[in-house]
Amino acid sequence: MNRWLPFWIADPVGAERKLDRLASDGYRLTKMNFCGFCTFDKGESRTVRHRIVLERGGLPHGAAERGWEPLYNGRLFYVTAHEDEKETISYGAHKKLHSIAKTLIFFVICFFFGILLGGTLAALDDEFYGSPDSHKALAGFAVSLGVFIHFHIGTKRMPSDGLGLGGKMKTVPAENFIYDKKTEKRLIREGQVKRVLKPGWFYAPDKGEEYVRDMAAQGWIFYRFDEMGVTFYFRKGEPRKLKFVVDYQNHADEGYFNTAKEYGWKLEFTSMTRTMGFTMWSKYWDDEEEEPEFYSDAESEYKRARRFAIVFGLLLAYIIFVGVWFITGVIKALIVGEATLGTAIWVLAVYSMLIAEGVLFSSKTIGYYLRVRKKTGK
Amino acid sequence: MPDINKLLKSYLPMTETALYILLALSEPRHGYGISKYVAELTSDRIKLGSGTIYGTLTKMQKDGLIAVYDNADKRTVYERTDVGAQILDKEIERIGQVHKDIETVLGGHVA
Repeated sequence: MNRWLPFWIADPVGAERKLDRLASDGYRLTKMNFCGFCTFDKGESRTVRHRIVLERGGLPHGAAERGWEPLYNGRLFYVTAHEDEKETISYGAHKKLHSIAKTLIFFVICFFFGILLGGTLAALDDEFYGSPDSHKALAGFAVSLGVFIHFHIGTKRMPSDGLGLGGKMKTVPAENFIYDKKTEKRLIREGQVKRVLKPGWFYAPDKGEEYVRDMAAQGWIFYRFDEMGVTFYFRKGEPRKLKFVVDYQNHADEGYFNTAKEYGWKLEFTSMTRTMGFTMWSKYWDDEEEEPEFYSDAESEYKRARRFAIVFGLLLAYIIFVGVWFITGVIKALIVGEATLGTAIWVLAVYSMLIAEGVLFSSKTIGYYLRVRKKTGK
Repeated sequence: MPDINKLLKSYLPMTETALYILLALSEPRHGYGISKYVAELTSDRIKLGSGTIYGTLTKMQKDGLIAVYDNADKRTVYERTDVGAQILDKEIERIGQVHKDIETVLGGHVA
């Protein structure tokens, strides 16, 4: 029998449950492709739980020994099933893929939003709305938003990934909120808690690491970030030695988080998307101990800085491209008399600020990269 | 099948991190397990950091030197592949040669 499970990649959990139902009807999966076309053999009815794992190489030996049954081995993913509900197996790169897809779609939405914003400004003296261009922009915006939401729901259906991120907070672990809102406000008023806003601090991560370390040495103990990762919360305590690490991993998976946790690192923050792939860790240490190092070799430390510099360099290039595009567009429109001076000033002000911000943050990142290069002797 | 000559060129001479990870994977282990084993083996001379071990394991897996042995939800256990074993053998051979060369030059000064 053949069956089509369209867009399973955006909702693998939904697809797995469908496979479970088909197995209980006696259909055993023999083949599946990325487009969702599946082939089944008819046999006995079975109660099994399926898992689609997005990894190359097929079912690992250890998982097979634990009773996971190989149903289909593809080039990029495999499908397996187990009779025991309690047996676990990772989702592989699903979360990673969802994260990447969501980031890309987010940028597409931003792009169309930019067009809409430009259109709104132009509409001050232009008849943008109702024109074919405005329809295209709106349609593109709606499609990207729709795909974004579909991927978002698909990710939400995946079970907890063991990152310790509970409740509504998806970037900061729930356990880091040691005070309720009311108590925290009172402690701020009483001077027992300090809240420091540092926008864009992570463009020079090493400075942030030093800042948290120095605050701890003065008795201001860092305990949480806000959900954006730009506000630091410190509580008053005894001076302590605290190692704070900003890691940049755009391919972090469960293995990454769990390995660091086993080492005793406390998760402080992790970005929603892997393009902004920051993860921040902290660890206390005593005089008797050696200072903990997240990276024990210079090579890895240098690679982290290089990866960071490359990604943010590209991001900056994108921001500058968009900015220059709109600025030249409005200047041209002004010259041919299609835009008023007022509109042109608005567009120039908005996009000049965007470019200035990009340049400021990128200079911080370049500074960080050069410092790491010097430190590691690369 | 990965190009073994290309891999030999990229991995040899091997970093201590890569060498000890491949040695530790004489039996399947997970990231933190590798680190504990290496610290014990080297009497704490080598302490592999969490970021270092994760990065190296990811690269070695991509290059086919190691493979996932098991991936229960919270822990990824790795094993050495035949390619990894071949690369490790070449490195051991190279270290043996280095040791022999040092002995030739310094004679009795080397144990």
